[in-house]
Amino acid sequence: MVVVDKRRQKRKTALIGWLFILPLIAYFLVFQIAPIFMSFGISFTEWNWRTTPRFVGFDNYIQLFTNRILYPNFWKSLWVTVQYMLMSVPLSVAVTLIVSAMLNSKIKGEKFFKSAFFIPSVTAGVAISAIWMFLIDPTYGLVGALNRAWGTNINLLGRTTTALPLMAIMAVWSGLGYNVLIMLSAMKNINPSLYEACEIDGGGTIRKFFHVTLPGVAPTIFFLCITSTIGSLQAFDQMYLMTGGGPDGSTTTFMLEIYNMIFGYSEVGTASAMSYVLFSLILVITLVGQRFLPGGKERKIKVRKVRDGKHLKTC
Amino acid sequence: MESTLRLASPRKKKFPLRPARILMYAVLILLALSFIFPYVWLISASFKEPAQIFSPVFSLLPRDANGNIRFVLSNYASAIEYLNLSQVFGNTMIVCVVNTVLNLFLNALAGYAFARIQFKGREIIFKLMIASMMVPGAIMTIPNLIISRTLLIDDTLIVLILPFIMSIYNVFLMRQQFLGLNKEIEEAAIMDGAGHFRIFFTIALPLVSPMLVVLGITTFMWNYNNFMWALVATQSPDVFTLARSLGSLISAGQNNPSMYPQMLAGSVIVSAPLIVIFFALQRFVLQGINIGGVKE
Repeated sequence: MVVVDKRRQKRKTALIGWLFILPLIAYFLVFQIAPIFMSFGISFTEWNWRTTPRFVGFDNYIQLFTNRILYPNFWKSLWVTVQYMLMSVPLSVAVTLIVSAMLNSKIKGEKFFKSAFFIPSVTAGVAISAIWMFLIDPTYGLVGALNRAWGTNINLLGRTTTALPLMAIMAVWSGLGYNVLIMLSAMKNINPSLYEACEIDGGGTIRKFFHVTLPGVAPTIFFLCITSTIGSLQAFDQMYLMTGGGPDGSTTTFMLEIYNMIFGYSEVGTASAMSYVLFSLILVITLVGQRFLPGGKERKIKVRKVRDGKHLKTC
Repeated sequence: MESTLRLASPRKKKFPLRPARILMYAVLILLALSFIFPYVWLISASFKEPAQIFSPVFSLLPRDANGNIRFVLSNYASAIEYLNLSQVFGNTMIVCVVNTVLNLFLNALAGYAFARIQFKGREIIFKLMIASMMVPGAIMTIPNLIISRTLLIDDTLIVLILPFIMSIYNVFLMRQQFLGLNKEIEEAAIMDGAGHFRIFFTIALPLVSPMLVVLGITTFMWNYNNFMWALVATQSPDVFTLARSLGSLISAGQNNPSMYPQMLAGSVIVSAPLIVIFFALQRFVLQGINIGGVKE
């Protein structure tokens, strides 16, 4: 009697559980799972919205990778995106670390600095593009004023060599506040006795930073590396708004090229194939990062502990 | 939270290197200026006469041709007209409020189930969801366009709402939050015969309200700023959001500096609400990101 009762109770609980996640499952199927498979299917077809999709096998992928006449921007936009990532991610992580370490050294006005750095994080991304466009305008903006004062002709967005680095600096600027908040809270969680131990061993500020702070925040560094890498590989807004990909394609990121492929050339199949190339790139970078970046390993250990039932509550 | 924070800030000896300390302040202040100056300048320029925006004389305050300080509102008038502000602002509020409310409720519901209700299949679904967070948004764009065209909702406000009524990442954060709750109160409630629905609404949800505030703010901001999807999914100006509308103003001004006056005023109009919200709720935002950070 008791056993039957328990079983019924269990079934009822399970039913309630499924009821709680029912909206999630519906959402997940329609807006996550279905799109992933649809994209995958479409990437093997030739389709321009109006015609019925025609199955072409791996042709889209092969053409993208090999046909430089048909898709002259594929490799270039991939390279632009990788360059953008290589510029923005290390710079962002380095600046975040330095600024957080400074703010963590019992500084006056910590709250003021945190708020100041955070303003771009709560500014509409579209507006940030407008602010910077005006700031660096070679005739009317701040750069324009400098140009007049020095008699120079600095045109940051107009040159192929400076446009992309400028975009990277802009990304670092607008993401700094958020990253510093995350990093700072990680630094404040480091056990203070570790600093004391290092001090007793005669360690100065620099040594404390490299031997205590840096290892202590390794998982956070890993987290920031991965999230900003994924973000930078999908950069679109500022390029679309500020340069439209120019000059001479030097800021045409992969996402912008996908956008052009969808709306400029109506090559939906090819655009889907490109989105899968991007997905693979992100997957590879994440997996490689997990293996080689500082903090990646600790994270794995943490995951394993969770799987084994330890740390279930804290992690 | 309080106690750990207090524990974590060690009582250090005074910094030994004075010059280093001064250098540090100098660097921080310069950096802070580079964050504040563009905004000050933006606001000032937005009140200048168009002729003065293009004037070769650099001035931080809005001045007229004779050098007297004078604020003009004409840029704002033309920006409001270009942005179609009253309608676009209404659209943005509908999208942001509906999405924020639905997100909070549905994410919390799922997060609670993953943390507190034992049932078969729970772990598999949870792992699937976590894995799906790796998939870039780029992959979703084309299928979501097709789905919304099939559902006949493209180029309406619904297309800006439906794909974002939940967030897997926020479900994950809610689950972490519920896992951290003390189980004893719930167990007592179960003993008293309360079901999961009652526990969820009367006990669990109120206990995680700080996190709800944080997620509410971030969800609202995310929807407010969502540009790319609005760009591809809406073409009629009467369903534009603020970000979408300002976006078309900026890309029009990309090669046309004569639109700068409108662009600057428009940027102030679009950024101001979020910045005001941020400073009003600063305490919650900063605390919330700490929570997220500690979890990582």
